[in-house]
This record gives sequence, C-alpha cells and structure tokens, in this order.
Amino acid sequence: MVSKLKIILSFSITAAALVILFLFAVNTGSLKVTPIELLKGLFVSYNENVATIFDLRFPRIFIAILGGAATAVSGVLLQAVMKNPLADPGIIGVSSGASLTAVLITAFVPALYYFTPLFAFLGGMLAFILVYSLSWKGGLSPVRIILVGVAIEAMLSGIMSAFNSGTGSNYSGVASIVNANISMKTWDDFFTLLWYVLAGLIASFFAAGACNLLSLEDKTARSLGVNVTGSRIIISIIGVLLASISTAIIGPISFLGLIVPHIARLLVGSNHKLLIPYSILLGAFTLLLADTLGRTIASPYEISASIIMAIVGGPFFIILLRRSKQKYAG
Amino acid sequence: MQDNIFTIKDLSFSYGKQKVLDRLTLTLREGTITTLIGANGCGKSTLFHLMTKNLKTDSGEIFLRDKNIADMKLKEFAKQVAIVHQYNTAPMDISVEKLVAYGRTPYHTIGLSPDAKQDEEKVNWAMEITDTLKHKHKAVSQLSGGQKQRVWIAMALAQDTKILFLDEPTTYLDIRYQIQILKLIRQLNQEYNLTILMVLHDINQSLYYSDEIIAMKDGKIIAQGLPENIITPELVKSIFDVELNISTENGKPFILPI
Repeated sequence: MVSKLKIILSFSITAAALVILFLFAVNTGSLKVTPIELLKGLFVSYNENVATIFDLRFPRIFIAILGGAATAVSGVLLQAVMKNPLADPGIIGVSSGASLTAVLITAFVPALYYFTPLFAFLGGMLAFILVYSLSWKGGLSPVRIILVGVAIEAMLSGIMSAFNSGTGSNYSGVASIVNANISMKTWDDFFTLLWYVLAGLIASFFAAGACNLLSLEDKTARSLGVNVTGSRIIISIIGVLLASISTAIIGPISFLGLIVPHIARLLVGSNHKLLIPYSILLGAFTLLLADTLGRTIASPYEISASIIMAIVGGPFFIILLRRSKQKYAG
Repeated sequence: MQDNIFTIKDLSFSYGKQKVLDRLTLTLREGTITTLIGANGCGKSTLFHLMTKNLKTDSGEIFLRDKNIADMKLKEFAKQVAIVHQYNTAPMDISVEKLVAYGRTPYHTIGLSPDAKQDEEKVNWAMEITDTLKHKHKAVSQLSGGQKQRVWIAMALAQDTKILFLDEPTTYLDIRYQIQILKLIRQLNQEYNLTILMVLHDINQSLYYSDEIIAMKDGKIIAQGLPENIITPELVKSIFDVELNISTENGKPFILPI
C-alpha cells in the first residue's frame, strides 16, 4: 500500500517540478528574460520581449499542459473501463479516429473549423466503439483489445498520412494535426482547448468513484447496486472526449496516456480519487517536458513532442506488456 | 411458521437453445440457511444468477417478499440482498477497510454519502463480526485465502441487508478456512437473523450447516426440505448418479463420499 507521506510528497514534488519546468520553458528559445522581468512584464509594465514571449511561447506551453493533462486522464479512464492497464487512447486508435475527422473537417469544410473538436470527438468515439466491439468475444481480453486497436490505429493514421501526402501537404492546418505540431498555436487554440478539457476533467472527478467500483468483478459491482454497463458508457465518453479534444488541437500523442497513469499508480496508488488528480499534474508535466526537450535538443530545429513521446514510450510499453500479468490479485 | 421471503414462480431460462431451467417453482423461508445442491450443470448457478439479477428470466417471476425483482432497481435490490460471488478481484493496493466500505455504495448518491457516521459504524461492525478488524489497514492482496473471503463477506455485510447470498463461499479454501467460513455463516444466521442462500459443492457441509436443502437436477427441483428428512440413498443416486451410503453424525445425515 502507498503511504500518506508518499502521496503528499508525490503531489507536492510534481507540482513544484511543473512550476520550475514552466519557468524554464518560458525561457527556452532565442529570447531570454529573468523571472523578475517576466513578472514585471506581465503584470506591471510593458516589456517588448515579455510581450513576444506572451504571444508566442505562452499559448504552446499552456496547450502542452492542458493536452498532457487531458491525454493522461483519458488513459486512466479508458484503462478503468477496459480493465486493461495497457489501454492508451493513442495505441487503441481513439486519437487517430479523432485526428482523421479533424483533418477531414479542416480540409473539406473549413467553415466548420470552430467545431473541429466536436467532430474529433465523434471520430474518436467511432474508433473506440469499433475497437471495443471488434475485440468483444464473450468478454474482453486485454491483449485482443491492443491487437485490434493497433490495427485500427494503423489503418486510420495510414489514411491520414495518405491524405496529407496526396494533397502535397498543402493544407498547413492538416499537416500540423498529422505531425502533432504545437509550435504555431495561438491563444485562440488555447481557449478552444480550455473549455472542453475543463469540462472533461471536472466530469472525471465525478467518475472517480465509479472507476474504483469497476476495478471489482462486474458481478460484484452489480451486487453493490452499480449499473456496470451505464458506468462504462459514461466513463468511456469522458475518456474519449478528453483524448479527442486534445488530439483536435495538438494531434495524436502516443504512449502519454499509458506511461503517466502507470507511474501515477506506483506513486499514489490505484484509488481513482487520487489517481486522476495526480495524473493531471504528471500528464501536464510530461508533455511540457517532451515539448521543451524537443525545442532544446536540436535547436534551432524542433522535434515534435509526439516524436519524443513515441521514442521514450515504445520501450516503456514493451516493458509494461511483459509485466502485465501481475496487475491484479484475488 | 416463518414467512416466505423469496418466491419463484414457473421460472424458465435457456442459453440459446439449451434449456437450463424448466418451469421451476420455489420458496425460501425467512431466517433460514438454505443450500442449493446438485451435480455440475444442473442449473444451480443459473438459478443463483437469476435470483441475484445477474441474468434476466425468459419467463416466470421472482418475488422478494411481494415485489417482483425484475421491477426493482439494482440499488434498491442491493439494500435488501447482499451477494458474495465465487470469484473476486480487487486492486493490489486497496486496504481491507476501503474495500469493506464499498459495501455502503447502495446508500450513496453520485458517490456521496448522506450519513458518513452510519457508514463507519456498519463498516466497523462488518469487520468486527468477520474478525477482519485487526487487518483493516492491510492490503487485501496480502491476506490469506480464508482472510480474503472473510473480507468479501464483510463487504456484503456492510450493505446492511437481511438477506445474504453466497456462491460457493468455500471453494479455493483449505478445510480449516472452509469450516471457519461456514461457522461464520451459521453465526450470522443465528445472531443476526440473516436469511441465507448458498450454493455449496460439499454435500456433507451442506447437510450439516443448512436448515433446508434444495436438490436440483436437469433444471428442476427434485427435493426440498430438512436435510434429515430428504436425504436418502435414492435421492443421492438420483442427483449425483453414484450409490453412496448414508450414516448419521450429531443427528445430521452424513454421506460417505467413497
């Protein structure tokens, strides 16, 4: 069991690390300001450097924070629904379903651009339902979900890349979703993301108790008066919403929804009332770290956060897959 | 004369084309321990799952007192009937106390408790009676098989119901724990007047610890009553298709299973 001290330390250290990383990320790039200049520039008097940073760097930093939190919590929720610690919105095709619809809307019906997140949500939901029903054979086997998910994911992202190449990568909006590029994001993108993510995260707090009960056998949960199917549907919707919205703005990020909940479980335990808030912090930290590293490693060139996540996440996923038998006890 | 607490009328159920229960009729009396016995595949598990709302009937009705359970919400049912299933899993790191507290779920609305003090009292009582209070801060996964089973029973008791169903509560346990569990069930019946229905594999334990035996074969009930009244070599032969001798132990029938 996880001690109270470990939980408190985990929360406070991660929160502190996020603040430090934020300050570092603000200062990463060609313009540099001291924290005091930054605070003065933001709240006291106009400073040209700070204003530039505010318009260019702040949106992407906040978008990375929101996207990381949303993707991580989405992972927690989908794992609870599927009783599968390997479920990840990126791996099982939810993100590619969402980004494919986002791509199609951006390319063909740009008038609906404002509603892209909603369409992305529909696409993510479709992909999720497809994976869920195709892997159902009198029950859900964890490995079957992953196999079916990988196949759906490969197909959807294939269609998306084909579309991008076939149009000569001429739609910059499309390319930025396909490549999960968050470098050109604006405050508008941030606010679009903010409301949906906020709604999803608040809903996930209310779903935490139901997630806990789903970790029991279905029959046992039902004997406690829980409508198991109904809970699954609601939690799935929240999980898919969070992953799809984030995908619509920043593109698909693989493995984040897998790695963060896993580390979070080791640090704060499997109680979703702690796991969800902690995954918000750690998810925000992780994606911001990946984005900031991507900006630093090969400066002045940028490596996108999704590529960093894929490189780090792949081996991590294999380790988890090999250890997955030991998750639950009777 | 005790009241009938469960009444089943003309219950039928099929898996696809295979008929598992065939117009079965049955009553359970309040305050008794009733045990379902029968060979593998006789329909006793199906009957158990129909009575616990895990399956839906094809035809026929099941009444809890005078209410058709098909019309009861799961939550309402969970406040009246607690169920210990045969196979259970819990997260690795959940503590005994937290798990037993899940038993209060039927009384909560969107995860919030209207009466936290009562929750705590019931949870403590459930842990005390099952002798798991001393483990309350331990992880359930660290406990032995018998202790774990007592924790699952404690969770059911925290539901604060007058009816307790148990599906093969002694399976997977060695003989010492089997007897502990059965004695606990007897105690719950005698001291707290719980009406208990269980499915047991061991015929002698069924005969010894039950007030009433329901013997099933091919989806029908072939005998119901006091163990000493109904158990005969012919009935045993009919249920299990083996010829066994019956003797008496402490005034209760005893089958030599060799």
